[in-house]
Amino acid sequence: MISSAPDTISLTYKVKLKFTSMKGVHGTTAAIAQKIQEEGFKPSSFGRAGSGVYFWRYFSNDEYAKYLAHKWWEFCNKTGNYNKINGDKRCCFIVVKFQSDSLNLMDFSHGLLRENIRTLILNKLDALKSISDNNLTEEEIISGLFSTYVKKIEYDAKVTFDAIIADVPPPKGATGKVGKYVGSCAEAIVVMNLDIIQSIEYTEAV
Amino acid sequence: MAIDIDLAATKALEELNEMSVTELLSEVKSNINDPLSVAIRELISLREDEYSQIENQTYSYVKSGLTYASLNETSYKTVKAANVEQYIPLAS
Repeated sequence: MISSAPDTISLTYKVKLKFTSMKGVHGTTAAIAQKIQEEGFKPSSFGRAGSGVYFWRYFSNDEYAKYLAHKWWEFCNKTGNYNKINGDKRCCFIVVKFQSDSLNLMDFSHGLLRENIRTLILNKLDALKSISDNNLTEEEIISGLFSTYVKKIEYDAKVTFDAIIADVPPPKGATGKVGKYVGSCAEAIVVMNLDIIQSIEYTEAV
Repeated sequence: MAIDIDLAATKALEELNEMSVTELLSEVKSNINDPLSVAIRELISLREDEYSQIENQTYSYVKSGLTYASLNETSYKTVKAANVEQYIPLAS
């Protein structure tokens, strides 16, 4: 007997899994890391001024995540983003472990979500730019669209996402031999609910 | 009762597409400084930087404890290790 195909197939971009070892790394200055150690996580004090809280995701092998975290610190250093920060500017890794209970993750690497946000940007960006009188940068409008879209889904689906997963292309030349086989996009975890952070370690990048 | 998340993603897109530009701009402005927006901007800036500014530089990542090296920064000692070959660019 041949069973008929289902009418709909669930797209599991909202992942509810039990991760026993999902972790993340953020690269920043030793001074900022120390401040976080003393005062705890606050989005406003985490990275650069007004930063969102995000980490490079990994599960057991931290090499690539730490490489990306170091690249971010290097980028901020080069572009002067740490100039206003007093204290030790050497690179420090903040390594967090996320709770292993079910998490509400929204994964923007999923094809449908990526397609939707691309459609939204293509449909609306020019019109939004034209009426914003150059008060907003393109990046501000796009990031605002991301956020508006996520909040709309949360409202419609009556869920609150603990974290958002966003894939980021790797640095030029860093894909190496493995990337062409398994893909090389790095995953950033943008943490919305700080309660999902179970433990924190601080490691100096030598 | 919560509706299916897949439907919500499509419904959200439809709703935002149907919104007037003025309404949408108002929504965008109200969300522009929340943590997700800020983080997305930082990730965008990293993407831009990697593709536009560091394009011609060659980096090498070396695992020796927690040692990182950049080939164009002479202050770092570059050590090649077989177990991180995958991170060493093919072209230099």
